[in-house]
Parts: sequence; C-alpha cells; structure tokens
Amino acid sequence: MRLRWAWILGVVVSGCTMGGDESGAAGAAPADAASGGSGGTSTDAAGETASDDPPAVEGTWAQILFYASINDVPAVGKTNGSTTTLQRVTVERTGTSLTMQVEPCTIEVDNGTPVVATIIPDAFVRSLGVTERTGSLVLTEGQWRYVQDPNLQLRGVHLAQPETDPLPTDIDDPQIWDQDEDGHPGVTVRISGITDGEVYVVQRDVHSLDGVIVGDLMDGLSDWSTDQVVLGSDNPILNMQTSVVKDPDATASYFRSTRVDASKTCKSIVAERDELFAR
Amino acid sequence: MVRRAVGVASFVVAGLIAGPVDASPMHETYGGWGSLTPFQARVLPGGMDAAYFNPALLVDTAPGAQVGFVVLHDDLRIRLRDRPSGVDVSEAIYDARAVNPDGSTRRLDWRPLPTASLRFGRSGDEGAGTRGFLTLGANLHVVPDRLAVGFHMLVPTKSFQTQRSHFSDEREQYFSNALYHELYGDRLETNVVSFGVAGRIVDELSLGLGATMANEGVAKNEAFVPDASDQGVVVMNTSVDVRTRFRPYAGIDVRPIEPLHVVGTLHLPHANDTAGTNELQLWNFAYDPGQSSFMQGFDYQSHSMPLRAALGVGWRPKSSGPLSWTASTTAVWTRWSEYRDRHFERPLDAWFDTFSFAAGGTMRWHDHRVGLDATYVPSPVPDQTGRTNYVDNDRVAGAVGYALSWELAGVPMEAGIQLQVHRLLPRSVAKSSDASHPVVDEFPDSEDIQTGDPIADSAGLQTNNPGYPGFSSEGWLVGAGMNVSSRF
Repeated sequence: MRLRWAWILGVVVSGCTMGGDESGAAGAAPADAASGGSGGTSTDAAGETASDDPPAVEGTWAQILFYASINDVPAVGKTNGSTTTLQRVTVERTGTSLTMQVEPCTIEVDNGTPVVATIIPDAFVRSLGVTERTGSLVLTEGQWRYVQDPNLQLRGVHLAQPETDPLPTDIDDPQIWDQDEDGHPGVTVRISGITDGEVYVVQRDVHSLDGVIVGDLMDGLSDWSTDQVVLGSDNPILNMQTSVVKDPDATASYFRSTRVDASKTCKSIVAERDELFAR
Repeated sequence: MVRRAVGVASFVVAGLIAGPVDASPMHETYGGWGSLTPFQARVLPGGMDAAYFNPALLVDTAPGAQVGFVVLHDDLRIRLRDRPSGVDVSEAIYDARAVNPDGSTRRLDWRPLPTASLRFGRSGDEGAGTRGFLTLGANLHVVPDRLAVGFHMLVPTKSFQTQRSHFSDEREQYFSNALYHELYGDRLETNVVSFGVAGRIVDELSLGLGATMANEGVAKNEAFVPDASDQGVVVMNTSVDVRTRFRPYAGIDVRPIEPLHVVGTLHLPHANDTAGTNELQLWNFAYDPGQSSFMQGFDYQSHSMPLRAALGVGWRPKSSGPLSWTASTTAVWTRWSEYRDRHFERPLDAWFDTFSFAAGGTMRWHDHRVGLDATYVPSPVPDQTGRTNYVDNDRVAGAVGYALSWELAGVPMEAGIQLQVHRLLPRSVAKSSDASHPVVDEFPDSEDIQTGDPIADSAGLQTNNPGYPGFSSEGWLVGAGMNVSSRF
C-alpha cells in the first residue's frame, strides 16, 4: 500500500474509485450502511417493507465516493487525508446481476495539510472515460444490498498480469502509455501550494462497494487499495517518497448514491452535490 | 607636552570606541564637515577629516583636535505613476501553469503574489528625516612639518549603524513594495572611522596613506522546522562572526610652484559585506544523498563605495597680513560600473562611471574665515526603463562656512559652522518594453491547472513591480555642522 513519491497523496486512482464529500454533504457513513437490516423483511426510510423481489436499481445514479487515508507527508508527518470522487453511474440489472457504466465527473484530493494541494486535472478525469463494473443485489436478512465486485483499474500502464505485475519504474518502459495525452508518460497530477509542479504517475487501484438500498438511495462502505509509482516531475522536490495507506477505520471510507434522472449530466451532478448527497 | 598627550589620548579613545565601523558614502556625499569648503577636502587642508579625504594634507593641517556636531535633514521624494488597468496579478495565479508556444505547459517562471494580497500598497515617498552625528578628529605631528598622523570619526547619535536592504525590482513586492533612493537612506546612517599618516618627502611633495574600517560578517543560521504546516514554530541557532577590515586609500600633494598645489587621491572600493547561510532541516524529510539539510545562501553588502580617483588643483598662498584666500577645484572619478547593491547584485543595466566636479575657496580676514563651495554630482544610474528601479538623481550642492579664531588660556581655538544644501534634480522615467531588461510579465499566458482552460487574467502584461509604469524623483538634502578646534 505504500505509494512511491509525491505529494500526490490522494492518489487518484482509477478515477472512478474513491469518493467522499469535502463539502460536508456526506459527513459520515450511514449508520446502518452495509450492515444490512434485520429480519427477512425490513423497513426502509419511508416505512415500506422490503420484498424478496430484487429492487429495480436500474437507471441513473449520482454517486460520491469518499476514501479516507493516512498520509505521510514529508516535513509534516502523518495526516488524515481523503480522495473524493463524484461520478455518474448507469445501472443495468438482469435479475440480481448488475452491470454499471461509470463516468467520473471530478476527483478531489485532500492531503490533510494546507501546505500542498493535489489537483487532478480535468484531462486526467476525462481520460478515464466510461468504464464498466459488475456487481449484484444480495438479500441478506431481508435487506437488499448493493455489492460491487472488486474492480481493478490501471492508469497510464498496461500490464500482462494486472493484479500481480509490479508497476514499472523506468519512464521508458514500453508498458507505460500517455493516457491523458498531454505529452507526458502515464497520467499527470498537478501540485499546488508552497511548491508546485506536475507529477507523472502510473497507478493501480482496486476497490469494491457494499451498501444497502433504501428507495432511491444506495449507501454503504467501500474497500480499496492503491499502488502508485512516480515516473517523473517537472519539479525535483516532488519526487520525494511518501506513503498513503487506507484509514484503518473501516467505516471511514464510504459511498453514497442517489437516483437521478437519466438526463442528469456530470456537470449538474457536481453543481448539485450538496443536495444530492445530503443525508 | 600636555597637548601632545591629549593628542595621543585622542587616538586611544578613537581606538576604544571605534567598534564596528562602516564605509564612506557619508563622506563622499557631504564632504568634510571639519572645514569651510566641504567639497574641497581633498585639496584644501583645514579639517581633521583630511585623514579620510587626502591624508597627504595632514602635514599641512595644524596639529590639534576637533569636535563637532552635524545635523542632516533629508527630504526625498518619489512619485509613482498610476498603474493602468489589467496589470494586476489575480488570485488565479495560484491555479495557473504557463502555456508554452507549442501548447504544452510549464511551471510559472515567477512567483508573484496576487496584487490584492500584497502586504503593503506600492509607495515611493520616503518623506523627510533628520539625524545627527558627532565628529571627532585629531592630528598629531610626530615630526613637525614632516610626519603627521591623524584620525577622524563620525558617529551617528541614534543608530550606530543602519542597514536596510531592499530589492530594486519586482521582488520588493514581498516586502515593503516601495521604491527607494539607492544612494541615500541607510547609506548615510553610519559611523565612519578613518586613520591617516602623511609625510612631507621634500618641500614640493607630500604623500599620505590611510584606511577606513569596514565590517566583514559571516552569519550562519541553523534552523529546524518540526512541522512544515506550522511555520510559527522553528528551532534555531545562530552564529555571527564580524571581522574588521581596513580599506586603504592614498593621497599626494605636489607643489610645482608656490602657491599652486596639485593633489591626487585614490580610494579603493569600500563596503560592509555579510555572507550567510541558512541550514534548514525538516522533520520526516528524505534529503538527497549526502544531504542532511537544505542550504540557503545569501549575501548582503551595505554602504558600498566603488573605486574613486580624484584630481584637484588648489591655490593656497601662505598667510601674510590680515587678508588671505584660497581657491581650488576638484574632480572625482567614481567607478560606479562596479557597483553592487545591497543584495550584492550588479544592476542589470550597468551603471555609468561618473566624474563629479567641485569648486570653492576660502577667505580670511583677521580672525574670521569664510568659505564657499559648490559641486555637481551626476547620477551613475541610467534611466530605469526596464525591470530595475534604482532611484537616483543628478545632484548639485552648495556650502557656506564661517569660522572664528581666538585664544583660550594661550591655546589657539577656532569655532566653525557650515551649512550645506543639496538639490536632487527632478528626474522622470517611464518603463518601456524596448528596454534591454524590460519589466517581466509575472503572470504569463496561462491555463487553469484543473480545467486546462485559458486564464483570461493572464493575458498581456501583469506585474507587481512597484516601479511600473514609471516614476519621478527629486529631493533635498540639508545639513548644518559646527565644530570647535584647538591646536596642540
């Protein structure tokens, strides 16, 4: 889990992974998220009893992912950081099987210190494109759960064995490609604050989601891990090695989803984030 | 014998109180306060400050001691032109990357603050200030009429020495955001201690050697920052080593025919230098191999004067009868092209070497003496149409003096007063894009680091250079001095 280099603490992995809400709209994981309900039937927020029929989750969802981390920032020390991702998710359902088309809208990184900020350029986010995830609906003790399978994403690199091959460290490694098409290898993350610059990285991210379905809301916890290698920078000090690890508090990383109209775009999801993810 | 002892004692006192001393801009600006013709101090003997201006004159200066008091008043004015719209640096600078001609981006070349966030608004009016100095000098003829030693010191009554650095370009935005007259201000708030020795080799030739004292400091700061996000806490050790250095000069007085005197002087460059390093350690930081801290170096130079060479001609008839007079003229060449500013930097646009001229004379009638003197000092600073804002003006000055002699208990005494008025001639400059080192565009055309969109605020020229788009300057220097002398 140790990241090489950089003030890129939040690691941006897969652009479609982490989430959260710096605006405070999503302050904490739902109390009963992922814990399921109780009994063969359960009562949702509207007082309705869940049936044994899979809920009709197909449709369009606005989703926020919040990944809590412990960052080891050079010259600062351990900080509580996070990566927040807003994304637009289109769910297709066949029985209890789910297929999700995920479009990242924005990725925000909080390094846990005002000293330096990590910026994920829009070009980075756009380069992630729309990716597919799979999952299922699971009935547990009368409560339907939304379970997204572990999903691995590589950024800026192709690996023959994505799960096990080490990320390349040589900038001339042929496995590396310019994913965001900015003329630099890998994907580019920008740094601002008391120092600034661009950092060129390759990343591997694995994450999964597990939450409960309550009407037009799907909330729960997320599990994630990430790996990153800095290939280079236009500011030598940003080659500094550091690390980011998942916050050991399992409830600190979570997601929230709100059903929206299919016409809702990424732009409007970002603009309406406070309302969409208030709980 | 007693007088001689007093003379020797004066030297001892001078040595005891000299302490950290400084260079000579004060003398070079105002001339000698110990005589009636301050700008002829290299040619006409009279004051004990011959120990600085031309030690060869010490053998023609009556042995004795002199104390005095000087009051200086500066009224320096700098008027800044109004800034046009669109040149302010906006907050968007924090989210910007400069765009290259090929469309790629780069880190910003400059780090301006948003104009609205500068600590101080731009200013240039230094206003008026008054300060006082004590003068003390002595001249001892070790071998009467043949060998003399002298000293002279000028000591501020407030700060013993003042050093205030500033940048003369856009970097000053981080600090006072102001313009300053480069050759005045703190350069004139200093003590000066000079020693000289003179020998009359033959009746037609006198030679003199002297030195002023200067400081050479080495500072080392060792700092540890426990938490880079809490810059209010720093653990620091400091060591400072200040050494005294002597900056020499020499003078010659040739008398091809009486009463004609031809004099020459050469003063070597003179400055107070400070070299320093900061060793900065951060907690939990991986330094480069072989490193255990960040090293930050800095150099300062204060009160600097470059090489000066002077040539003077004096008409000094020996006193006979109740009426006598002297006249002289002096030209001083100053190698300003070698000037370094307070940050030990050479001006981007090289300064000019200059010749200044002065002419004056004295008249004695019985126990009364009067003096009249004038000088023209051209500015070595070229028009500041580019990035730098060294403010300086051509200067004309006049001085009048009066002295009265009498005897006190058999000891020849003299009391003198002197008035000086300097006019810094008005000067105006406008910045030009055609300058050899033009004002820099501190916020070049840029894009937003998040969206990649062009930043409209970065189009065209943006700068926080306090001298942009131009300024005008002028000023007055007024001084008055009085002194009392006694002969040994």
